[in-house]
Amino acid sequence: MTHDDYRELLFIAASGEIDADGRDVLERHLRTCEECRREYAGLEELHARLIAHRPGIEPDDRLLNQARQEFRIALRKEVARRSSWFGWFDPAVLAPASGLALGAACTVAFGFFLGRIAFPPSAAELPSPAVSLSPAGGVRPVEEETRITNVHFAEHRSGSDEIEFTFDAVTPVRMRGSIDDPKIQKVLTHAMLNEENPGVRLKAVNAINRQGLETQDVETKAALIKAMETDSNAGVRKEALSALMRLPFDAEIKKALLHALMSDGNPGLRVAAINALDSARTGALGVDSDMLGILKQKAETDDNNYIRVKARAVIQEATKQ
Amino acid sequence: MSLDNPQRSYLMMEDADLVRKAQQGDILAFEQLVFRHDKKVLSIAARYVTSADDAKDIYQEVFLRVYRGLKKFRFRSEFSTWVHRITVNVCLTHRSRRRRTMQTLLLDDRDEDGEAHGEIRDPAGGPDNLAVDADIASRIERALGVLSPKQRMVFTLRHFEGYRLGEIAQMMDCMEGTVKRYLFTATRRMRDQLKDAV
Repeated sequence: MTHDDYRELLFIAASGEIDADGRDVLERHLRTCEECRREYAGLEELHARLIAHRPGIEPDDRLLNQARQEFRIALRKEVARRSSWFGWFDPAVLAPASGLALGAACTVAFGFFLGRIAFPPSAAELPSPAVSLSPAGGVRPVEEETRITNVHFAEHRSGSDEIEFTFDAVTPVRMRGSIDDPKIQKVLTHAMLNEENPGVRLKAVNAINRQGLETQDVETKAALIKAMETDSNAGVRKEALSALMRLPFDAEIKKALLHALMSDGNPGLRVAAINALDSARTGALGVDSDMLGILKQKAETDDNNYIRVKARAVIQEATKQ
Repeated sequence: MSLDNPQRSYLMMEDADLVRKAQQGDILAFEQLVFRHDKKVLSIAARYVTSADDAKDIYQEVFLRVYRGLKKFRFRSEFSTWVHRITVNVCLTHRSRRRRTMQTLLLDDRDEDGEAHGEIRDPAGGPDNLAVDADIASRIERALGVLSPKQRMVFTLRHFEGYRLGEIAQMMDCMEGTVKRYLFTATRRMRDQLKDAV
């Protein structure tokens, strides 16, 4: 072996990757080579210094929570984007044939676009901006502008001067009614899960939390569970947890609480979850092996001291029974 | 929330089962996967870059890429390996993007793989300031700045994150020998840069 080969072995040893044979060879060489001994000592010291003074940022819980919450918002946008028209362009779902059709449609659309640029319509041809709408149902439209989107033209019949098209008209609507009204609940549930503004989502959960227990339906419960598990705002998640705890405790709520205890980045919410699980522990559902496994994990690894102690206490109580 | 088997919690599911559910559009399954693997992703990012915002950017980019690419995941590797590979790629790109905009960088030569690397110029004004800098962590940070992105990534994964060379090779989608070479060069450069401190 050349001296350079031994130097490479030194480096491999200092990286902690040397095998037994290599170690034997190296040890024999080190007994006789002063230069390599110095080199090896230098590498070991470098390694020790690097470990003791790790650069970069400490990836602590605070940073993790921030990253998770920012990602939730980004994911929400991504999901909304993908579920709209972008889904069309997913190469995984776009078959070659439909790709051809899409290409043809794009060509026609582009030609139409060029035509409109070359021969712009006269003012008389332009549609009137005033649109008269009469909304259906018992809701009263507010006197504001109606936004029109997604205009789709039906096939034009030759020789006819009639035109047919569909569009979505978005009109601001004001609703007033009992919080127990299923229509009101439906809007609140939608707001709780889809509103961008966390303040609005929080108000929606608050309102649901105020309604009578007897009127809580399956859909509302599912929405509350989803809000508790996925909302980017800890206040909304906490309020959803409180609302859930007013419902009869069942397997779904238990599973959601375990999810929060296991995965939520906010220690306050994990504390609320473990407290809720503890108070429901004596019920029919009890402490099963899944719950016990999660509690054991939390008792050992949770960063929050209260949760570790509480988890141990719950395990102790559960194993006594 | 819909589960094929409501008795079986997502928390107890294998990664592969969660991936299959997430591929069918189950967002809760995807979030569970994120919760399982995000600490490692953030840890790698935080050790590789120097600001919390950069680390969070990388975290977000990694999981958005995972989300976008999930339908094409064919289980040819562990899900975690795939996520880590994306993390490494995002880190390397992120670093390159920063390097392009950093005016303090002097590109002085190229390494054995033809990659540009350079000396980070001390913003406070020259090598004298480096010599008197008492903060060893800061000196290490400066020394890491001399490495090429791939050398720095290998060095970070091996020395600060504790991955084996074979694991790093999987993450970087290259041969173990290549990783060894990056690490060898990186260690040599680090030792040269830190010779006054070590």
